[in-house]
Amino acid sequence: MKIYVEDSFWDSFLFFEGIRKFFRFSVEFNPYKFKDPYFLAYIRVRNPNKREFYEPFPVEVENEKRGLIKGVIYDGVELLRYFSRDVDISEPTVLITNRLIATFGEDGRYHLRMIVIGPAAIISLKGILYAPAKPLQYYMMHSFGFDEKIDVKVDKVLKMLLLQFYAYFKHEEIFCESEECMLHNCHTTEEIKKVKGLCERHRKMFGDSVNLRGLS
Amino acid sequence: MAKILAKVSEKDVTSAIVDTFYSMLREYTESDVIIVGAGPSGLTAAKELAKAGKKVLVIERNNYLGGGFWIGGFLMNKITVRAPAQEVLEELGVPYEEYTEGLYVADGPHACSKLIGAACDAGVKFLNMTSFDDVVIRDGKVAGVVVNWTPVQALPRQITCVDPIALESKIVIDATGHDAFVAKKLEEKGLLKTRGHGSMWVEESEDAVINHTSEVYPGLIVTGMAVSTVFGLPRMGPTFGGMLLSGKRAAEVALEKLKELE
Ligand SMILES: [Zn+2]
Repeated sequence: MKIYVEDSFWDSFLFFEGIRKFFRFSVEFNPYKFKDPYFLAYIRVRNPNKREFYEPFPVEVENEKRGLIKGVIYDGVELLRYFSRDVDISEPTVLITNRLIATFGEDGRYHLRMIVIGPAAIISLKGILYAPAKPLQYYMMHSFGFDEKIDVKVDKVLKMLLLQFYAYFKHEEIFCESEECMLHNCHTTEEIKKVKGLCERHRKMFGDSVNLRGLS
Repeated sequence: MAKILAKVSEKDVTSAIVDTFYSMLREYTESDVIIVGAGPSGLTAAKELAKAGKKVLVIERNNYLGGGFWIGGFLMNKITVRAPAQEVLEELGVPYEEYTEGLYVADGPHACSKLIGAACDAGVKFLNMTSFDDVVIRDGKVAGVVVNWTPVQALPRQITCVDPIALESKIVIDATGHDAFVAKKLEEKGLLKTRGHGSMWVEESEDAVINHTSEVYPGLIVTGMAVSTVFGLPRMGPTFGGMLLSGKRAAEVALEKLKELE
């Protein structure tokens, strides 16, 4: 598997070793840089109820060049399309980004995503923090301006998402019903906590590919 | 029995108000910067620009200045800011305490009145109870605003028949909050396209508001929540640090632009 990490946080990325140890096959890491700041500014999500792209303002392109992208959300499908064309995707290829990504759902709204899967995949580290729904108390405290810590094990979720893409790429497996299985499609931080390893069926499929020790 | 207050006639009181108000209004038919909206970002921008020696006029549709800065979440009059915005409180001389690491709390009334006071001390002039009506555009550039009394604007036009007046400036700053009245007016004229503000809630949107505080049309700078409307940024929580720092950024951008015009 090839994993690209966006170069802006390559130096601060903490999960190289954890991911290498998790997979029993070889994982190659490389830094990645999006080359087109105009395109990035263009595919920003502007309105949660509309999938519509606008000619960016000059300051938006300028901010892209300078990496001032906090609080900006990108259309995940467009971002993945660009990435998939830019790199060789003949083997499973993932980009880990610090950008927030969202996809436009059938309900006519954008939703923040942890991962967008296609011929390749993009995983958003910030999405892992922001996308899963939190217990009510988190939002209560936050609405009063308090910085509640988000209770998510990022390394665990990262491994789950990488495996989910790998399963899709190799076997076109999409998500597992079992709440304890790593391939379960979790929507809340509470659901993430319930994941313990692989269900019996998926242990048969992927038991040889991954090392589940130290997961929980 | 000795009088406590000096004896003046009613007409002197009226003359004092009329004379001084209208001489101010006449002087401020032309300013360096007009700021629409006297909330935390507008007031901060105004204070900074006046301190830099610029002639600044603030338009506020309400009688009171300060916008939402008097009160925090759930009508509780504590305001919170995240680091490094406590430095702005420090500058204003507002007492605050650190609640958790990087999060500071102050009394809304204290913070808001100090900010208004600092703007006044710096030489900012205000037209309150004055509503933004339109922009003045000259040579493809925003060159002022058209305003009217808020009570006049609140009534149907056929009853009032009071025309607005125009005030000119080299730069206009839209600090009208989510409404982004000035930017929306340019949109009505087909000169700008705003993106409508997002409802996806992201903590970092405060940073985004600061980073996007900029000139969006020649002569028009947006600040505060208006930035979020123009750029379609996600919603943000009720911490005011982003507003104060966006106001500072707007002043920096305005000073650069004024320098270019010299
Ligand atoms: Zn399973």
